[in-house]
Amino acid sequence: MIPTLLVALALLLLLGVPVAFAIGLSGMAALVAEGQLPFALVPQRAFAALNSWALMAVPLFIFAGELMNACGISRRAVAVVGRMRGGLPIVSVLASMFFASISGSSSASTAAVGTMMVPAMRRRGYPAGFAAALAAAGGALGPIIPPSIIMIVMGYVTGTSIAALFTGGIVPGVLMAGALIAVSARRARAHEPAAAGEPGGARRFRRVLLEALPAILMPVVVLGGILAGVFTATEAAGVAVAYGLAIGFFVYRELRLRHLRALLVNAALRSCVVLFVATSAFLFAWLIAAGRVPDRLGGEIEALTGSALSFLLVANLILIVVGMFMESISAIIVIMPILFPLALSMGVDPIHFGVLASVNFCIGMVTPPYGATLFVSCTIAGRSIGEVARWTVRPVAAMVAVLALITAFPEVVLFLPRWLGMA
Amino acid sequence: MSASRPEPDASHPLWRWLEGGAALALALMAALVIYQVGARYLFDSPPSWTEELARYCQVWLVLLAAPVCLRRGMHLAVDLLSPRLPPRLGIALRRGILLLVGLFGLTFAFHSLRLLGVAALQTSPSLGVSMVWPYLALPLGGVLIAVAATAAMRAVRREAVPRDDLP
Repeated sequence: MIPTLLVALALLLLLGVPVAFAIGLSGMAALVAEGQLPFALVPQRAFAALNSWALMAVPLFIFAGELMNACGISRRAVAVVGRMRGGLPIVSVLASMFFASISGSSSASTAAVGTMMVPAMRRRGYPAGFAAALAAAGGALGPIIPPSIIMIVMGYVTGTSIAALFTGGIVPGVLMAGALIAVSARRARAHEPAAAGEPGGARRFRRVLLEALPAILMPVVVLGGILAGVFTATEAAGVAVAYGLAIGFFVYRELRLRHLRALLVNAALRSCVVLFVATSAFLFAWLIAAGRVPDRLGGEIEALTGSALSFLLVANLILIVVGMFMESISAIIVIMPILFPLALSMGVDPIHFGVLASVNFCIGMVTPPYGATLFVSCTIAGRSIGEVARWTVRPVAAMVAVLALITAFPEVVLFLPRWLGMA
Repeated sequence: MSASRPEPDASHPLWRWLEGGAALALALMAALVIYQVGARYLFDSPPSWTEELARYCQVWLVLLAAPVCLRRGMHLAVDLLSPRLPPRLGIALRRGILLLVGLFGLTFAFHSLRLLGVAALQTSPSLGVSMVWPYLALPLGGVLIAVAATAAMRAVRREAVPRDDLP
C-alpha cells in the first residue's frame, strides 16, 4: 500500500497535478492496492479534516489581512516605517517584521513592504536585485513571526499547540531580522554614509505615528491575547477580524458595506487554496500511520543518525530541499506525517521541531525554483528570478546561520513558551 | 488575481453563485467566532452550538470555493514540467491533469453519497440537526469539481493557465 501511495504521489506531483488532488488520487490508488479498505475513507477523512476548530484560524486570519489592506491599516503602518531614520535596508527589514506581526501571510507582507521599499531603495542607488532580494527575505519572516498561516497548519497536522508554536517563533524571527540587517549593513553604509534625516521633522512624524496608532496596537491586542493565554489562535483570528472591521468602519472610515462582498470573496478563495490542500492532510497522515511508516523507518533512522542533533541535521537538509521545490503548506502536509513522529521518537521537543521545520520552509520561500516571496518581489522589482536570485545568497546565508543556531540550541526556541507555561 | 480574464466562461453565473456562497459561509463563520469570544469573555457563558456551526461553515466554504479555484487555476501545484514542454504537449498535459481531477471529483462525489446514507442516521451533538446538512457539501463539491474541470479543459487552449500565489 505505502509504495503505491508514495510512487503515485511523486509521479502525480511531478506531472503538475494540484497537490490536494495528487494526494487524493494516490490515496485511492493505495486503497486499490490494499484491497480491504473502503473508498468512502477519502471523503470521510476530508470531512474530518475540515470539521476542525483549529484550522478555522486560517480563513479568519486571511480575512483579517484583507480587511487591514482595505481599511488603510497597512498603508498607515507603512507610512510610519517610511519616516523612520536609518539606512533603507534596515527600514525594509523592520517594516517586514512589523508586517509579519499583523499578517499571517508571507506573500502579502512581501507585496506590502516591497511595493514601497524597492522603489525607494532604487532611488537611493541601491541595485534593484539587492532591494528585491531583501524584500523577499523579509517577507519570509512572515511565517516565523506570529501570527502565521504556516504554523497554524503545522500545529494542525502535528497536533501541537498553535499558541506555543506562535510563541516559539518570536525569538528566531527577531534573530533572523537581526541577521538580515547585519548582512545588509555594509551596503547601507556605502550608499547612505550619513543616515538621511526625514523632511518634515519630528512634528510630522508624531502626526503620522498617531494616525497609525490603531495599526500599531493591533499586534499588541492579537498577539498579546495569545501570549497571555487569553485567546486561542482561532479566537485571536476572530478578534483580528472584529478589530479590522471596527477600525475600518468607525475609526478610519475607509470601509464601506459595498466593499465587503469583494473582500469576502477574495478571502474565501484565498482561504480555500490553503484549506483545500489541508483537506487531503488527514487522508495522507492516516495512510502513512496505517502503513506504520514512522515505526518502520524509526529503527533505521536511529541507527543511521544516532543522536537527536544529527537527526535534526539530516531533517534540516530534507526540509530545505523539499521547501525549495514545494510551496510550504503542501510541503508540511506531505513531509510532516513522516518526519514528525520520527523526531518525537528521537526525543526532539515537538514545539522545537515545529518551529525548526517552519524556519526551513521559510528559507525555501526565498530560493528558486519555487520561492513564494521571491516570485512576488521579482514581480514588484520587474527583474528576472535569475537576477534577483544572485542577490539572495547573503540573506539566505544569514537565515541559515540562524537555523544552525536554533538547531544546536533548542532553548533559543523553547525558553519563551516555557516561561509562559505553554510547553 | 490574474488581471486579464475577459473569458466568457470564467464569468458564468455558476461561478459567481459559488463565490457568493463561499463568501457567505466565511461571513457567518467570522460572526460566529466573534460572537463566541464575546459570549465567553464578556458574558461568561460560552454557547456550545456556535463552534459546531462555524466548523460546518468551513466545510461548506471549502467545497463551494474549490471548484471556483480549480476553474481559475488557483490550486497549488508543482508547476515545473508543463512550462518546459513544447506548447502542444503542454496543453495535452494540462488537459490530461484536468481529466484526472474531474474523474477524482466524480469518484469523490459517488463515495460521499454512500457516506450520506450513514450521516442520515446521525444528529449533530450541539445543534441537534441531521448530519446530512454538513455532509451534503461533499457530493455537491465533488460534482462541481468535475464540472469545473470540464470547463477548464475546454478553456486550456484559449488562455495561459493563470497562476495565483499563496495568500
